[in-house]
Amino acid sequence: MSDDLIHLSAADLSAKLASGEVSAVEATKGHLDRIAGVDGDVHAFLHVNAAALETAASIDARRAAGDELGPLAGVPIAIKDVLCTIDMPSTSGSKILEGWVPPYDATVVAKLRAAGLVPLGKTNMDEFAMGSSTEFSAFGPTHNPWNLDRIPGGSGGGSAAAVAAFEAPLALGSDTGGSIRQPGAVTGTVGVKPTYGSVSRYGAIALASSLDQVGPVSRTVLDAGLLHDVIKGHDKRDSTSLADEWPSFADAARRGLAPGSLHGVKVGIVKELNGDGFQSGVKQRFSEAVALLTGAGAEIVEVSAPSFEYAISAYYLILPAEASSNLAKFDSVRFGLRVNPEGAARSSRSWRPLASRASAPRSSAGSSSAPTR
Amino acid sequence: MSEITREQVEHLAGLARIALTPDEIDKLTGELGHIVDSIAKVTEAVSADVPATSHPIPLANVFRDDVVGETLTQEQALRGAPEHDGTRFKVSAILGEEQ
Repeated sequence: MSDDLIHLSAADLSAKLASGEVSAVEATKGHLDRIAGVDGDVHAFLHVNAAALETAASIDARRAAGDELGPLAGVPIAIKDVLCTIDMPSTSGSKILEGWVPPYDATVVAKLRAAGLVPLGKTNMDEFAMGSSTEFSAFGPTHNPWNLDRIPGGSGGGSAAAVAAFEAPLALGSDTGGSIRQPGAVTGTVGVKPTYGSVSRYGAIALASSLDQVGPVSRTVLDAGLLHDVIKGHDKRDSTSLADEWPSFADAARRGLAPGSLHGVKVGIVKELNGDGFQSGVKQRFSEAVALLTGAGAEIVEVSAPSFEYAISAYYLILPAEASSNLAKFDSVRFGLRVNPEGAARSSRSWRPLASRASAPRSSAGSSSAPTR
Repeated sequence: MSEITREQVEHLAGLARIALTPDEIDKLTGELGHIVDSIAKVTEAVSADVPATSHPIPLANVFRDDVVGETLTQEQALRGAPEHDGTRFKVSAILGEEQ
C-alpha cells in the first residue's frame, strides 16, 4: 500500500486524501518509511521532522470534522534547509548554523502549514546555496537517486533528489542562478524559478537578494503549479514582493493537458544558447522536446538575446557582492559559531570560520569553497 | 588579466578573519582575478544608450507608518544566541585587545 502511495503525484494523492481513500497519516508514514529505507544512500535530508505524523493526524482530524481544506492538505513535502522553520533546525548547509532553530517560520513555510501540507524535514544543499552539485554541503554530499555515483545538481540537490527518490511528492527549493532548475534537469524532476517578487523571500536565508526566489520542486508540471498556487502572493514582510495577482498555474497546467492545447502559442528558442559545450544527447533531447511542442500545436520561432553573452560575467559581479553583504551577518555576534583556534596570531578576536572550515577534513587539493571566496 | 596578488588575498583573508592555507591563497588569487576580469567584460556592454538598471522588476521603496508591529519577544530573539545575559547578546570584545 505505502509503496504505491509514494509513487503517486501530489495531485493524485490529494484526490485520494479528499475522497477518504487514503489518510494523511498513511501518506506521511509511507514517505517516512521510504526516507528510512533509502536516505542512507541518497542523503537528501539533513533533518527528518519528528512531528510529521502528529501534523498529519491533525489534518485527518480536521478533515473528519468537516473543515474546509486546501487542495494539497495532507500531502507531505520536503523543505530546503535554506528556509527558516520554527520547529526544525535551519542551517543553509553550513556548520556555522548547525543546530540553529529559528524563532519564526519563513512566509512560504507558514503558507504550507496553513494549506495543510505536512513537512517531512529539511533537505541538503550546497553551503549557503553556493554551488551547483550539493557536494559542498558542510554535512556531506547528496547523491543522485538515478545513479548514486553522480551528483543531483545543486544547490538544491537535496530537494530534487528527495522528489526523484519518491521520498517526497513535493519539495521547496530556492533559485538564485539555477539552484532549483538545474537539479530538476539533473534528476529528471520539475523545478521552477518563479517570477522574482511573486513568492516571498521572508525567512529564506539570503544568498543574493536581488536574484533569490523560492519555488516548487515536483515530479509533474501540474504538481508544480499546485504548489506555486500555495506559496505565491504578496508579503508585506518582503519589500521586493510584488502586489500583482497571479493566475493559477495549476489551472494552466490542466488546460495544457487537452489535445492541441498549444495551438496559438508561440515558443521562442534563444539562438545564443545553441552553442558549444553540451554533453552528447542533451541537444538531441532538446530537439525532441521541441518536436513535442510542435506536435501539440505550438509555433516555434527563433529569438535572439544578444546580452546573454554578458550574463555569466554580470552574475560573477552581482552574486559575490550581494552574498558577502548577506553572509556578513554570520559574524558570530548574533548568529554563528565562535572559534578561537590555536595560534591565531593576528589578534585575540575570535576567528570566524566558514562552515567548510569548521567541518571535517578539507581535501588536500585545497579546493576552496565558494563561501570562503 | 587582473592584477590581484597573493598579498592582497592574504590581506583580505585577515580582514575577513578567515584562515587560509597557502594552496587556498593560490587558488583564490586566480578566482578573485576572474571576478575582477568580469568587470571588464560587463563594461563592454555599457553604452550611453543603456540606462543604469538596478533591477528589471518595477519596484519602488516600500514605506509604512512607524508603529510597533508584530515583533519577537526578547526570549525568542535571544534563543539562538551563542551567549546572552538574559536581555542582551554577549559578544567577543573587539576594542582594547592586545596588539
